[in-house]
Amino acid sequence: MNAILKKEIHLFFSSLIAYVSMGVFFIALALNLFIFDGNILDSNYATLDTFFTLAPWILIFLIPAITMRSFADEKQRGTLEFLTTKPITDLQIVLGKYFAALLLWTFTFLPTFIYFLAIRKLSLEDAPIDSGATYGSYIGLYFLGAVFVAIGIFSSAITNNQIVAFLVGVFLCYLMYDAFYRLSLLPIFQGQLDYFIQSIGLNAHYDSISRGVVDTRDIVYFISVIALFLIGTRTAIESRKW
Amino acid sequence: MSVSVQHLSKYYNTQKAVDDISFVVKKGEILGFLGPNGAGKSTTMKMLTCYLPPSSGSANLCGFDILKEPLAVKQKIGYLPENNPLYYDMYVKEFLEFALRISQPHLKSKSGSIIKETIDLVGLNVEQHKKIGQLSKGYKQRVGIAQALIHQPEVLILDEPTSGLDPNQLADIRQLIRNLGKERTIIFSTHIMQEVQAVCDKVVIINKGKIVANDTADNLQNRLKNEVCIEVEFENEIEEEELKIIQQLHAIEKISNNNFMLRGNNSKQLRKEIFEFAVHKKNSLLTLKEETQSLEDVFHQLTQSS
Repeated sequence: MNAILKKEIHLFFSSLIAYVSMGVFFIALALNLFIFDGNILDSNYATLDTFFTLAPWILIFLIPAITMRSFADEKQRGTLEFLTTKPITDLQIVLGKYFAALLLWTFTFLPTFIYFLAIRKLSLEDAPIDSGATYGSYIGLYFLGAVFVAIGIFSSAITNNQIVAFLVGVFLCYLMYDAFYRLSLLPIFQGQLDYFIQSIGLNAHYDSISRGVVDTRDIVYFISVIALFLIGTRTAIESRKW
Repeated sequence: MSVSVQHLSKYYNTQKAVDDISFVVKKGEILGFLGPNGAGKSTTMKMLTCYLPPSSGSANLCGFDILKEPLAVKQKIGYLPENNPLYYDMYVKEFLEFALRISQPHLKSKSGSIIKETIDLVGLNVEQHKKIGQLSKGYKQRVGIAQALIHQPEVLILDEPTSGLDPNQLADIRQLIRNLGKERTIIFSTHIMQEVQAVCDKVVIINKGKIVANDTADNLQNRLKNEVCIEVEFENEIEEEELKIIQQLHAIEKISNNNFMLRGNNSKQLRKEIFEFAVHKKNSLLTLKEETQSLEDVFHQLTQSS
């Protein structure tokens, strides 16, 4: 697994993929936070809400773009046959690729702490930023990204076409993040199923953590979704044997 | 016994790709796996390397079953897939390091010397600092073989290692396979007969998923000794029917109106009769040449008739 992880990380950082993804994420959010219309400097509130609302929407596109290559390219070139005939299990290949992409997401995620530090510095002493809620939101956002990475890897494993992998990835990320929430708002689900449907989606759990209360149920939910998509990925890789 | 295959079959839906094949390869043997395109060679190799599971039957490599202990099997084999898939944007050494680490994750320190030995063995010295994508096809093939060799497997499975190479590269790769075969068991597939004559101890010929011959290369050639093939050319045109007076004749193959290939059992008697026939017809014999048959002919006979 380590060999695959190392190779993937090397590929991210020896090409532009890593730098572009880190740059895009950091700059796009910085512009919205500090410069564009409705920025926090004008609003006079020490809060990162804009960041935590916008970030998931950028990730829905950014993460499938990072992961679309993962398996689709190996299938296209035939190198998956090389990997799967080496003495490692299919699960090790999947985990190697997952953790490599997760590491890249971590590197993309970490610089955004600068926003937090900057705002804490700027805020007045009697109206400081709500540290608890912000830490919670950061944890929620990290897990959200981790789920998107699993979804992206899965989408990449079901096709040998990178564009298809990207589009399926974006769609599944959107579905998991927003669609369940929207669905629960439909009148026919009101009053009975709406809470249940909402809790299938990522949005509800992200919001829940964002309030600053790190609930084990939310963490278990995120980890379960990740595991589900990774098992799906392994199944897709093993589908050659059917 | 390095490799033993028993009643191995593979169906793709209803199509039989490999149909109940069995063979064994002893330690240190080079087995040529021969057949026309689409005969089931690659499918068999994919099953032996645990890439695809067989529909029925089993195979045993170095004492490990392909279904029960795939990881142990994969540790014992080195595999060069068809079309030699490689990461073109990796450097040769970087790729070999990766291939080694993925096979032996617990290996400490001495990867450098193993990689160097392998590079020497396959003759990649000159090109070792390049990116794989920049190499010529012959050198890419060597990288593919190096990758298969790097974890020192006992059995090498090479799927068409010589396809698409120019004659010089072809000779080099064959020489390389012969050298590697001194210490290892090798199964390699090809559809080129001369290759088998040049390299292999044993030959398995497969057609439409079935084994049609399984013998040593020498024995296969001896099969042909009984039959002779004589090329004749007459001065004037002649009807195929007229030739049938020749008693020793088994088969006639028309090349042109005055040029034929004649097959029979007794070379001396046949030539004598052809000469007498020409005298009788007052049609001068311009050519009378006995052809030596090659394994190529065996291949044709075995794979075309069915």
